[in-house]
Parts: sequence; C-alpha cells; structure tokens
Amino acid sequence: MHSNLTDDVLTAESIRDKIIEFRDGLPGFPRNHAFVMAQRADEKPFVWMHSVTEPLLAFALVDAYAWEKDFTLEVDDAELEEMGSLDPMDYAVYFILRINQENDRTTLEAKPNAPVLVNIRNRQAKQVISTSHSHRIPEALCVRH
Amino acid sequence: MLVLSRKVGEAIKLSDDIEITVLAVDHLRVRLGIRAPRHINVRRTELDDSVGAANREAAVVADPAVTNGILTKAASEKKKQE
Repeated sequence: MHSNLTDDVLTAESIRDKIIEFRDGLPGFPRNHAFVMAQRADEKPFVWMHSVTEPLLAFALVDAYAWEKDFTLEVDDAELEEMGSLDPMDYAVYFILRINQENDRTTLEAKPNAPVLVNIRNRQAKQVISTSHSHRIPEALCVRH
Repeated sequence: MLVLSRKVGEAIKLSDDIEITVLAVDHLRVRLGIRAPRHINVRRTELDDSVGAANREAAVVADPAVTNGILTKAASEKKKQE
C-alpha cells in the first residue's frame, strides 16, 4: 500500500515499522484496528493516519504537545498497563483533527478531550477519554489559502 | 437483550467479578454502584458515542485532490504563530 496523501511511497519495511494497532478498534470505526502513520518532514508536527483495512480512510492528527506546549493528561494506570507500559516516556499523544474546508480557508479543529495514545515501543494505540486536561487547549488552527 | 427488574439495594453479577448494585432511584435517574476489577473499563455510553461521532466527522477520503498540502500549510501556519 502506498500513501495517497503524501508523495512518499511507504515500502513494506517502513509500513511494518509504522503500523499501529488499536486493539479495541477506533471509536466510530470498530472494524479498523491497524493504521499506518505517514508524515513528510514539512508536515511535522502533523501526521496522516491511514487505515490499513480501508485504504481510502484517513485522519489528520497533530502531536498534542506541539499543538499545546502545556498540555497535561491524566490517564488511568490500568489503561496504560493494558497498553504495555506505565512509563509516560513510552507514549506519543495525538489529537485527531477535523478538517473544515471553506472557500478561502481551511480550519483544523482538535478534540482535546479524546487524545490518541501510542505506545512507541510496541505500537499499541488507544483513544482515551480524558476527564481532566488542566489547561485551556486551543481547539482550532486556521489556514488561509 | 436480557431485561430484569431489581429493587433499590439489589444487585446483579456479570460473570464472577463484576457486580452492579442499584443504589437509588429518583424519578428518571438511577444511581448505580459498580464493583469491578481495575482492568474493566467502565464508560458512559453517550461519551463513547460522542467520540465515535467526532471521529466519523474527522474522517477524510485519502484522495490527494482533497487533502494535498493541507498539513504542510498547517505546519507552516503553526510555526508562524510561535
């Protein structure tokens, strides 16, 4: 499979490396367990997450700590244990972005109360519901064309 | 779906290690006590549904005609703001 969204073609090697697994499926997409992260250097800290099951399905994500430097997250230890590590250093955190395209601008809208956690060591992923994120997190980024 | 009636103070068991007790009933609201092992994830269904709905709204068709360059532009816009 190659990424339709970006120019770079993912090889079998790099796919294996970048596949993440939502053991319980992604909320709203219960049949989709495996996703591939694709990011061009100039897209950082944003990243595309493609479904392996449905190649035409993709999501735009952003590194939560890049979106909001003071972002803090409280997650139940049991949840982290299930994902294979209690060490916060083992996790990457993303917000799923909703893309609104209007005539002259595109708005990217984050949902800060439902971040995606990825254990970067074993590639286990889960969208958690955060009941307490302490800071006011900007919800949208506007890009003019 | 299994439907059963319980009075306040009565409970049901799911398997051996999950117990749900009806603590109080007040008009249309029922208060439940849930005793379960830590690995059992208890969530309000409508919260789950709202995340699922938000994800469905966020889903995009992986078509370069629609999505090409969006994240590149977003990245440079984000940099500008910092």
